[in-house]
Amino acid sequence: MSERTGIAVPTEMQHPTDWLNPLRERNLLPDDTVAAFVVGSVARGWENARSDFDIYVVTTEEVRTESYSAALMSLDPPRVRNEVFFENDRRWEITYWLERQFDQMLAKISWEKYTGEVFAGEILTPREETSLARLVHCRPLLGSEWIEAKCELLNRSAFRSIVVVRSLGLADDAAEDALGQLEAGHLESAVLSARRALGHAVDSLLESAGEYGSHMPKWRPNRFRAAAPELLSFESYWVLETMRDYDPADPRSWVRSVLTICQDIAMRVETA
Amino acid sequence: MNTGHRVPRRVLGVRVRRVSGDLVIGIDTDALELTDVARLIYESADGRNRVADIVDIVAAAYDADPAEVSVDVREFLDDLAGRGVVEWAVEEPFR
Repeated sequence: MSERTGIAVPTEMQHPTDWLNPLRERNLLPDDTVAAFVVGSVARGWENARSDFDIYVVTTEEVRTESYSAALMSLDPPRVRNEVFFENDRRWEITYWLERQFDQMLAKISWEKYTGEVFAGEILTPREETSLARLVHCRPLLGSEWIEAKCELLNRSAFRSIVVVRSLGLADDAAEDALGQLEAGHLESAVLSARRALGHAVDSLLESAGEYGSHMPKWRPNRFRAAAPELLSFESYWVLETMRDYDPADPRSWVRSVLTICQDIAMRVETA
Repeated sequence: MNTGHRVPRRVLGVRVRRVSGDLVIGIDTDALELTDVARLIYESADGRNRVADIVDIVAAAYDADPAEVSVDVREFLDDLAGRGVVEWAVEEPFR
């Protein structure tokens, strides 16, 4: 593995071969690849000169290379394998998925599961949720039809409802914390709980518009701009997120106004 | 006594969900479903609208005479207050 030598220069990677050739040169694109796609900030056009290049490769058989690492998953097999290399001062991370692992994740988000007794927040692990969400805004390199088919299944699934209900539930929990802390006079903690409630409530609003990715709050402003919800302008959201109206002499007022916004969002976000 | 000058406000911490356009409100282990005019009244109880304003909102939405809907709106808000879903924010509105 090579060392990162400095700040990389943004790279123009317009054609799929620009992405695939570095993989082929390293023998990292198996013959049984059914799909390959760029995910993450680069796929969305939000990258910077320090951004990693994240690529998902979907195969039918498990990939075994000399230097892979593995991440545990609640799937069969219970892992995905990763390869990392550096080229042109960029870190490339290739994640190898089995086709059947995607099928297993999609099976977890059926309407039957959603209406069952499992709490929405426990249907998917954060990594599974993020991986499925990344399909929606990926940049296809190979297997466009496979990707489109999986996106169609995702759209027809209960995925949106699952993540929206999960985020609303977390917002409610945080709001309850904040109110209890206000009553007990733990004002600083109440402020933090209200901030947490706001984050989850805004996530639910964005998820209801198909802007997933709440496990990566660093992109919430970008997702907000992309979703452009009618309920809350970006400017109003940013005033809240940056606590511009917070008065240290009167935390209660700020906490209550934030919780009111959270309740307004819950009242208007549709849950199927 | 519920007068038209009082200002109802949704109680914070009450869990609300929008399901197929209607509202479902969690009250302890029970769920209160609010449809149509009930939903509109609850949504309008934002801590700024007076009862009289909500009467006008409902009358306008349903093309009715405010005098005809006034009693129903007041009784419904009292009922919500009794359930702990709405509270009275101020006696006179803050404008």
